[in-house]
Amino acid sequence: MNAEARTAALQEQLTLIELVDRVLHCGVVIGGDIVLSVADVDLVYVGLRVLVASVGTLERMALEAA
Amino acid sequence: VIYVYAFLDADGRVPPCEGLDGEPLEERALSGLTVAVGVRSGRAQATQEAVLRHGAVVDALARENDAVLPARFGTCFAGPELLAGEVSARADELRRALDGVRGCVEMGIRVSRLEERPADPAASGRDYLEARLAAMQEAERVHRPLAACARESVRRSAASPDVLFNGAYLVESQSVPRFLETAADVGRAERGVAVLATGPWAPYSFAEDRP
Repeated sequence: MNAEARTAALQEQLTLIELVDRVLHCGVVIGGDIVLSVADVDLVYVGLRVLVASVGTLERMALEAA
Repeated sequence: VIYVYAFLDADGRVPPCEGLDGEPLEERALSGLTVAVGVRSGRAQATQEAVLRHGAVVDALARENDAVLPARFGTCFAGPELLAGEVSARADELRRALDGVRGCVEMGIRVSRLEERPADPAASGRDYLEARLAAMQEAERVHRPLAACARESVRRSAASPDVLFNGAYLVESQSVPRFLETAADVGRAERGVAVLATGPWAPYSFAEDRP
């Protein structure tokens, strides 16, 4: 991968993680019913786990490329 | 159930859009607010696809309105009167929060360490404290110029030891280019860290009314 492609891939993955974090953990909480269990939320992150682990590595690659 | 996506002004626009299960996005006028909802057969399942869909609906609303308060994923009510009662009880607070984010988007900033982490705490208490202090000063150097471009900011949890700083900034839409330039300048000035900006997002981190 060239430097630009690496940086673009990093930005895309980071954006996905940041979006999931915001949708699940931020925003107005209204109503007495907490409808998501911790297990539910964890399930979403299972799909993202590889991604989360790779962000640090990608950031290093991006800086080396810069 | 009635699944809530976001709160808008009384004259807020809800564009045609598909919800979590492809259900059409609907609007409910309640207590001087417009609530963007979808009517579904059951509670939302937390899947990556559903989370992204919720985000896409909020994005569609943010494109059409200058003030949007996203609801937390999974917010649903068993019936219209329960939704109406809850919105009525919180209406003043929600309207204040809408005013607080009007004309603004949220930008994310992550500052990540690029080298190996400094000595472990056991090695030397003094080294450890000095490293901690340096990290705090670094975060402050990044944060201050960015905060100057923003109406408000919050520090978010770092989630990883490599992340020195994870911040969310409420930025007026027209100030986004200046904010991104500032982030790029800060990134060039700081050695050994990567400064990455994300967004613009709907103001998820500023949706709750703050004193």
